[in-house]
Amino acid sequence: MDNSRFRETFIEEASEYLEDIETSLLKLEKFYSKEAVDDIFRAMHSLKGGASMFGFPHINRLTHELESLYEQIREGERSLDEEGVSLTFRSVDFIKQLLKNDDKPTSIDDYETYLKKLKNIGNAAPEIQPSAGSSKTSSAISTYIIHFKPGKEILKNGINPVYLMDELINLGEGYPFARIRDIPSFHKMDPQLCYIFWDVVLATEVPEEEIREVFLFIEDDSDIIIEKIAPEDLLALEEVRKLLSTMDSSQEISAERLASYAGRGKEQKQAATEEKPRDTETLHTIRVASSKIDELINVVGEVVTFESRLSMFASQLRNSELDELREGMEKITARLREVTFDISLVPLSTMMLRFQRLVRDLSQEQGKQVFFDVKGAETQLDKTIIEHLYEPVLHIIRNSISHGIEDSKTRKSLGKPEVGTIALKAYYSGPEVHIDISDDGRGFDLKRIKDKAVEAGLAHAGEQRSDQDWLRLTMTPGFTTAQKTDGISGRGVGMDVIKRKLEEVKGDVSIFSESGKGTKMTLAIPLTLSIVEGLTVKSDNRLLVIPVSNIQEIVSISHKELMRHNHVMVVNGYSIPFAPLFFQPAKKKGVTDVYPVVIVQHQDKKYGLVVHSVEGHQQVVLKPLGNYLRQMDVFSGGCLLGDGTIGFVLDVKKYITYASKVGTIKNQNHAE
Amino acid sequence: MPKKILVVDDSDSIRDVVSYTLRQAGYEVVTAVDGVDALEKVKEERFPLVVTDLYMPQMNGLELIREIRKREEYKGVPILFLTTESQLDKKKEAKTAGATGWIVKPFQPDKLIKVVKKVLR
Repeated sequence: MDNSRFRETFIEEASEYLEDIETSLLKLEKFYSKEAVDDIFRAMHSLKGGASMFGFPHINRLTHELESLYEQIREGERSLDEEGVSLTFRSVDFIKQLLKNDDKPTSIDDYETYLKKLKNIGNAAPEIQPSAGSSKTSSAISTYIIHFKPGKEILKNGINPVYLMDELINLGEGYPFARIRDIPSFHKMDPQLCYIFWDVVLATEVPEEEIREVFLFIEDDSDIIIEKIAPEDLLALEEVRKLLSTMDSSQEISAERLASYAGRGKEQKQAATEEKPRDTETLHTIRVASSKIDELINVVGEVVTFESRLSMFASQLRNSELDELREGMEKITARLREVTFDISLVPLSTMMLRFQRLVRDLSQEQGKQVFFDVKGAETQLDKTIIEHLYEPVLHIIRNSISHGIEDSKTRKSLGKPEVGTIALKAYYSGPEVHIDISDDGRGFDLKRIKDKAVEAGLAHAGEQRSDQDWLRLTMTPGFTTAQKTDGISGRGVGMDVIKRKLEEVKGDVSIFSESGKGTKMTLAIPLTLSIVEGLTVKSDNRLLVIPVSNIQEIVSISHKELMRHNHVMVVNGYSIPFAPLFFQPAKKKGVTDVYPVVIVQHQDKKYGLVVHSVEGHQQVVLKPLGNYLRQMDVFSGGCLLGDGTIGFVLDVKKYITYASKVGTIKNQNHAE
Repeated sequence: MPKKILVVDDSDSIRDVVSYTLRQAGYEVVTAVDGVDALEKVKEERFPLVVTDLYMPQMNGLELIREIRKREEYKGVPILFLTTESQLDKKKEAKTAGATGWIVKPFQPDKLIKVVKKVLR
């Protein structure tokens, strides 16, 4: 047996068990729940089993102690106190470390002391050596013959007998024989009726009631006979297996004949290794290396590009058969893209546990009481984006606990609830996912921010700005430095880090804060980065792609209007600043040209991007620009268009920022 | 995609506890307050499972089950009904109407999930 491969799997599996344990522990800290204790016990048990099987003796011993502890709690022999919970948390950390270090404790003395402590608290049962681990189960297996003849009408009420057979056989090991002799000839058959019945030889350790439970709901209408033929596992015997596998479905199984094998296999059984349990588990999910998914996305990207080319080619040829093919191809490509996209999505809950733990540890460390309220953890995002979110969210939560939430005494004197709350809410908003992280702490000190900003040269004294604008200033790198050097910890480190990290995934952050009441940060993150739904436009013969998600509408502008000096146009009663997109309009007189204007939105403001023509609408696969063109950050990347030419995908946010800075676009927006 | 279950009950608390339990187990839940409401929803989309109470105003559970079974797209879709221990004789009646199985009230959350998992595959 190739142990190293199983070890890998075990390590992954173990981390999941540990996460489950932590989740249950966090629950237990709030209120006692039998279910949570059961979950921990089960996870510990599985961990122990795996550790002993794949050569992690230190983890094995540790989990053994914990398992006994939780066994006692489960049986009501002792209660779970705060110390127990804390100890379990620490053990989880310990196990994590062991997993990382190939089961080698950093200090063997520490390990032994820790183990002793666990032993004392748990009064553990004598240690069972792994080799004897499965002794109690193997003897309890019995062999049954089960006759199951479903009522003919069974299919009508939504029961599928095949599933029941699956369920039955999953109870242990089974040989099913489907009896088909009652099926009438084809023209006499009613497809809505069930004519098949089964005989099954089943070896299982579950009690008879549990076998009967498989047939719940249909007992009354079906013939079910469960006959125990031997109090041992007859299917473990070579001869029995041989006999059963040579029988065909028309032959009857003789209970006497099978029973006569009982007692023969004592020696055989000893030799047989117990390798079954793993593969009987049903597969709900499979693990795939993320590099494979990346590869898949790449290939799908290429298919999308090819499909665009095919479409373009077909529309030029106007051949109806080709058109039909193209249409079909288009539909399939769209589905392929959706499915692939869905595969690469991961729910936020995958990182929530780490934050729950962070809040717990940090608030305990600082002697504060904090309730962490998570909503929308099922919200899904591209896996690469999720990886990038961890750090900013971590910073925000850390800041909230360290600098936002006051200690219970202060909170009480302020008339606030003693326990502070950090609420994380994730939800979809158009093509983006928004994550609100709010606390009911003391909020930002606006006055201090203003002073600091002026001091750092980021604003003039007495300058009028909206609160939001002032708050945004805290995210400029210079601002943080200014705070640090002077040792005043307003919101600590990381505001600029938060912003920078989000920008890496084309995200954005906005801050809302009310002094004394709390702070709310909203992170806006695009759902995906790899494939963009884009409008292709031409500007001075250059092909550019504007992401559809940014576009509000397309209007037109005359040459005369375009030449107006204030560069503001009026659309639906709003004056919207506009700018020609990478071209210099010619100053000819009497030109009657009309230009399309793509109206985009950025941070609640609208801007018009004037282009020469709108070419079409297609999905493009975003490719990074590479080092050579890296400084062109107004583009989020390049792409191959349907006709094989290369286009640049505009990063609307970066472009607006850039254009406002150099003055090609005016930063104003108001109703007229 | 989580499977979407239609939960029909006129009692807010039962509806809540059933929905909550199912959601915890990862299912999506749509609720209806009685048979009429449920039938509307059933017409709009095909739920892979319906869980319904028996006694409800307007249209009771038995009628609802019969109506649902009349629909072509609901042939073979499991329908579970909620019943209290004392009305277990209702079992036969509901099954004749076309129900797949039952959940006994009061129920343990894990029992409910087990039964739902059994019929939903």
